[in-house]
Amino acid sequence: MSKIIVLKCVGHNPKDFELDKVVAVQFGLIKDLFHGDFDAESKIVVDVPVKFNSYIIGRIIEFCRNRASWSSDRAYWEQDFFHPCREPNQRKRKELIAIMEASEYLCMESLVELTTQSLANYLKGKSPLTIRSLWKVEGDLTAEEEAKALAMGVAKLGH
Amino acid sequence: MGASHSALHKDHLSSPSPYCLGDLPEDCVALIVENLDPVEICRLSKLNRAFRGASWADFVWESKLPTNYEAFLERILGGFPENLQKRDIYACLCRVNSFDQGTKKVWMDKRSGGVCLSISAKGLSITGIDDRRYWTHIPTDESRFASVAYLQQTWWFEIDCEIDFPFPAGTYSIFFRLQLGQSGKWFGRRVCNTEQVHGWDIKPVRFQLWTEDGQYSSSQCVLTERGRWSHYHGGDFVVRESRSSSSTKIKFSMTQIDCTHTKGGLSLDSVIVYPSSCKDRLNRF
Repeated sequence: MSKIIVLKCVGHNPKDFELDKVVAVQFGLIKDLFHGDFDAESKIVVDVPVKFNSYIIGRIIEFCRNRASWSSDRAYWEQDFFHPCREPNQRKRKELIAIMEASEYLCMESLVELTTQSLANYLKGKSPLTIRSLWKVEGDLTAEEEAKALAMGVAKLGH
Repeated sequence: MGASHSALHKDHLSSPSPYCLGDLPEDCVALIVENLDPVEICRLSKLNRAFRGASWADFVWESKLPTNYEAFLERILGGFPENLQKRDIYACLCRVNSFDQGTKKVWMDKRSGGVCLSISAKGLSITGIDDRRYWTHIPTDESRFASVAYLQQTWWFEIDCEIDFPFPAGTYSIFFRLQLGQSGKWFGRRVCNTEQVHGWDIKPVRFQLWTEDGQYSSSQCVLTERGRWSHYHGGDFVVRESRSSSSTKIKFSMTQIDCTHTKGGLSLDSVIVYPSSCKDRLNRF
């Protein structure tokens, strides 16, 4: 039996995910566990923070497992995986952000890149006001701080 | 047999409403805004604290700066300003900076980061420029350099220039900004005197361009546009990635040396080197 990593998700819908080496090495956070002083035959359990529920972890593992077969038709699986649409609804937005945060935590550079790119695409061309209402962002800067941030911004970039 | 591995908790775990854009920590936001263009990043900095902080992250702006920005700053400012964040350096490069005794101006396009270089008539080698029978320098507010060179008439029309500049890697186009006619103001209104314009319709002018690494281009064009400033394309050149850490030497010229006829009535403002991808924006000076 070769080394197995188990991702233990708690909270709503608790679930354990057993990862083989092929999948586990894609997570920067835990791939080093394979090089530790553990027995060749061992099972390592990693507690996933309660913030990342089993559904999100499941989606990420699905990405890892299918990456090889999807790499030849990247545009297609990106669309399929992230379910983007012109104006994503609340649930899809939350899912995208959750996957981004989880993959950042797990140190999965490629998935972080894809999710942050997708999120950036949704922000492009939209005014802060529109983003606030669409994405439910609360402004926590004072009026003075806001004015200062704006003055330091585009205007300062020159002509 | 297993070993329990305690999770490495990070700061953002205690967030009350998970998966909300507004609750993302600064470092996550920075990863997102890195994919936006500089103008967008600055605009979103007022969204909330995390966005404001992210909009100042050095690594975000490092990716927007030209790879050889240090050599670039050295060339145009004669030194490297210290204690500046990368965003400030970007803003500095987006301003119009004069160098070479004011004969050249350079700036970076704030959206694309493309470098634009403008060389005034005084920074070019114009055959006969010292002879007032042929050429004069005329002050005007129609030029970025407040002065243009005006040609009354000549047999031998030749403009050359050799420059050595650390262009970041990319493709660039050269344009001559000139006008057939002499502009002036008459009771506050713009007028353009085209009476002295002659000889340009007989034979075309020739543009040539050489680079140190062996690129060459040549083209011909008949000058026709009377009474307004136009950009005439003088050639393209490519700066390759490996060369972008050092300076790029290029030489270009515009000639009409057919001595069977005279030509004149031409105003020459400047030559501009522009990233080829941005050239559609040229008339928006």
